[in-house]
Amino acid sequence: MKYSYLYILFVLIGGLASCTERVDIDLEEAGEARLIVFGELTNETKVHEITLSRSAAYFSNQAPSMISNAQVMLDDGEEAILLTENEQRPGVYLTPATYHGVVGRQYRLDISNVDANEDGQMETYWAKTEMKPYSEVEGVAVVYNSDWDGWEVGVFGQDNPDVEDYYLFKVYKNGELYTDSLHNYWVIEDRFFNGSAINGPIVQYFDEEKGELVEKGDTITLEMAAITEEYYTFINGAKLETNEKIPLFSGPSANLKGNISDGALGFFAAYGLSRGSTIYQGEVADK
Amino acid sequence: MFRKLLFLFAVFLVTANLLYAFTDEDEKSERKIISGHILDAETGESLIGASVMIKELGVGTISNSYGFYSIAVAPGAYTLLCSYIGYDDYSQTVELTEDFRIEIELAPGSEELDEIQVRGERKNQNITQVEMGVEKLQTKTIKSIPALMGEVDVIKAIQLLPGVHSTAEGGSGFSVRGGSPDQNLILLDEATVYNASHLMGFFSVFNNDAIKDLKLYKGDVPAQYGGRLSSLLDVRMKDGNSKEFTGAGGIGTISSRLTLEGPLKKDKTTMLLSGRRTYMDLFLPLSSDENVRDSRLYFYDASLKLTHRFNDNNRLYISSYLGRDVMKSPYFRMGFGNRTFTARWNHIFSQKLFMNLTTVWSRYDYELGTAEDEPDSFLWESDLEDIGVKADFGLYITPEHVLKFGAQSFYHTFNPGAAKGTGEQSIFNEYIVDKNYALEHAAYLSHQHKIGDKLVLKYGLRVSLFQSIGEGTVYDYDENYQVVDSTLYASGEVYQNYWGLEPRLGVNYMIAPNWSLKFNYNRSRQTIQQATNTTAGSPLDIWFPSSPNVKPQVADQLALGVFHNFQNDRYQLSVEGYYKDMQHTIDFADHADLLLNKYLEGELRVGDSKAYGLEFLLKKTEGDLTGWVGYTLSRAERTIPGINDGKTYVAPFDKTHDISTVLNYQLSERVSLSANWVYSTGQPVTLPIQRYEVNGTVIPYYSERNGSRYDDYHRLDLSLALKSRNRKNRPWSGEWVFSIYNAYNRKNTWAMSFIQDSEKPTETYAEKTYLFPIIPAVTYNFKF
Repeated sequence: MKYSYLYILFVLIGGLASCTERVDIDLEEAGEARLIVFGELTNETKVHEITLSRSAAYFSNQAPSMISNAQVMLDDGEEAILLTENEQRPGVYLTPATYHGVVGRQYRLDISNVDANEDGQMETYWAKTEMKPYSEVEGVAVVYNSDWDGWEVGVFGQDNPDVEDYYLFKVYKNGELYTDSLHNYWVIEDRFFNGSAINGPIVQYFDEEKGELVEKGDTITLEMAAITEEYYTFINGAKLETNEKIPLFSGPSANLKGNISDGALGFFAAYGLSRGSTIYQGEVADK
Repeated sequence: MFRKLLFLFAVFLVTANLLYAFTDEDEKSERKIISGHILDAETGESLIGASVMIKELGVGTISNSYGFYSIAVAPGAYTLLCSYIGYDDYSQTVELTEDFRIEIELAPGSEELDEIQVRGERKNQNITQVEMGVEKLQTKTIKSIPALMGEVDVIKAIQLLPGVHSTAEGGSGFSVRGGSPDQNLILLDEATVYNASHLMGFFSVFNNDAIKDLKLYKGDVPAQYGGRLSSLLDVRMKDGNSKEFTGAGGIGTISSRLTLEGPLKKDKTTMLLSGRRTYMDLFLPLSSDENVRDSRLYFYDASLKLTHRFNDNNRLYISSYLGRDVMKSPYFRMGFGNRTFTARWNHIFSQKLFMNLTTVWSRYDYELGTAEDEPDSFLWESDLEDIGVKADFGLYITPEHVLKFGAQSFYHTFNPGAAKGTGEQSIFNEYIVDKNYALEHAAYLSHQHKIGDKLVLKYGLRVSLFQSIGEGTVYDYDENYQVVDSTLYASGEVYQNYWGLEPRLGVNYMIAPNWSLKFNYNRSRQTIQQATNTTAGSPLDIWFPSSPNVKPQVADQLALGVFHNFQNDRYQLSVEGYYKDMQHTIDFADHADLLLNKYLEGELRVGDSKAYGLEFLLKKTEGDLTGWVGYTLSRAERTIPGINDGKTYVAPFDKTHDISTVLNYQLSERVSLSANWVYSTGQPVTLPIQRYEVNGTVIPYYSERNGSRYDDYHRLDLSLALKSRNRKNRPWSGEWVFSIYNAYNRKNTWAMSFIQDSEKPTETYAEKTYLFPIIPAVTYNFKF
């Protein structure tokens, strides 16, 4: 949060003189490909996905190479199920449609029959996480702000004073997920408001300049998830590594810390979530 | 083992020579003393580091930081010689039968010396003095260096010296011999300046018009000072003109400045008042954008100095500095700045013993906040304060033996940050990072000993003690840097002591009158450091003290140098090699959270580091063409568990090759041309080797910390100064300075970002950010 203000500040000052341009640079030898795992398990009953792919040379500029025919086991401490690969989308492994996570349980993912570095040897990997208790979205507010030309989505609720909470917010318009990629996730921790009533801070937005328009009558749904500290750190790290670097504030580039074993990258997350909706009536921020 | 031996050797030398210095009293009691101050004849300003010699005996000394000198010799008839770069030589015959006191006034060099003219006295302090790794810059030199936006900048000038470089393009942070910017002790009239930059680092806080003298110690830091591993930048403010009221100022592209100085009471009290303010924000109201119109963006600084001379033996100096940056918009505001206050009393006990008592107060603070009454409205404040006393003595026993000793105590208060919501709507609670309190004491003794004509020794010992005192909370961390426990210490309780010995040793052997060989060993300890892992640094970076979790950083530095003057000392050539070994070097965890974090110490990673290099400097100090060419070949690296998988990596400010050329050519009496060209190996950077996709976002994967480098950095700056005609009956003189920064428009990399194409999400590209294209500027300077 505070960093977004620093960013504005930078733009105010550095922006007076700074310029950017695309450049061609030579990078070092890429080395062996690694297994990349991504999956978000929630408390909703639906088909949950685990995606397996490979890393590639930085300027490879192609869709990632997906890993098929792996054996992917999901264990919630009560029972272990084998995920099935989607026939249309290779490398995507699915739970049954009746599956849902349970708050408080520990989850373990075991992946085998994988040859990420393509050396002919099969590898195995695992990951562990837990599903944290979540709190309810009590209200959602959508307001147009002409200062930066976009719609701000605010949340109402109550932070739990007894624990450190890490929140992930995603937003839907008329049922369609807008927060479709890691870089537009919005995460916050309760370091500065532990135990407070949450009365409308901005936790998501629609950017008019990017054509993300909200019209009167649109239903805006906000999803608030309780994530682990590790996943929070991972998402924040991903934002740092994919945004522009500013020497005043950006520390040295570093790899994200995922939770997959044996040198694989990515994250296997589990979280409980709640949703709240509102119908946009054309509200505009008063100045 | 080596360190122990060296240390024992140092202790032996100190004791043996002190014994020697105080024996043979009969011979010494017959000596008479010539003492006094060395002053500028036009302004009465005392001159630091001017040399005074007894021609017949070939012995002499140099004036101290207050212009004081003292020489004890046998009675007789002598010629007293005094010289200082930029001033005419001075000579006077003295019939010495009693102690003799003389205030020597040197006339500023009016005419440039003819190239072949032979002078009476050699200007070869660089050969005769034992100190090495020391660079002195005169404000006149600094003024002639082309500057960014025409803002004459002390620190930018320092960055042009060998072994010193800028930490980021256009920034006023500097790295000395591969060290971090927080390893430089910056003193303004003895008060620590914690953040020497304005406007997010692009300008430094020092106003050149108010500065008398500037000295950078790159290794051989005098025993009097300590607390930082890399360097000491000793900045001295002018005392003010004691002869007449004068003024100087300038109207620049982004700022204006004015300095007034003069005697309040003739020959007793002088005053100097200096101020500067930028005015780029004066144009903001012209903007069509309402938000820009209502914004503020400026900085100012002001210095005040009062000097009072009670009598020949007592002087009082009061100096104060205030600087502030202000940024405001309807939604956001930020302010930061330094304040310092120093009061000093010079007392001369006998003509041999000089004392200076100092009390210092220094504070750095910042605040930032948003508009009130929003759910996310907040105000965030942080500050750091020092109060200290120092007593420093100089005992000029004979020209061969000079003793310096003293003691100091500082009380530090660190308020790393407190944030709270503002207005009724805000959801934020108060979040306070615990304050820290510490005492820092030191005592030192140093002896300069000249043996024969050729050898000068300087050795000393500094003993330092750092104490963490309550009230304070100390958190215990497990091996994963997670907090497991905490201890609260009561107010006033000392809960951690760190003490250490810091030996200093210097040897100068004059091989020939224009050649000398110098050696230096120096140990330093640092107990206060900055939490920053960025290259450019920001005003929000906080300082934090040693604690039970943070051991003091220690550095041992060895240096060896050859110094040579030729062509009548007009050219100075030096080659210095250094090796630095550092323990408990602090770096930070990947993606460290350094601001508003109670558990900051959990973000630290500690290991060892080393730095070594060779510095070449060729300098021409007189003639129509003056300036220098410096070249540095160096390496700095760190080995820190928890960073780069524990493998050694290149330190962030390492630059293999570094060339600085600074030239000034006096075309005519009124016109001078200046140019500087810098070249250095690109800054180390961590670049990706692979990429991977997580939920539609392409993330870079890196191999090694600082494993690559940006493109080489180089830049040419030019300036032309045009002085007005000197007219006898006109008290006003002016000067136009036209400057061009980055004359051939080199796009030096400031940052490199790796971006996922928003149109074609499978594609990624590298994007270079650069600052400052060609920037022309005009400044008008005036004097009256």
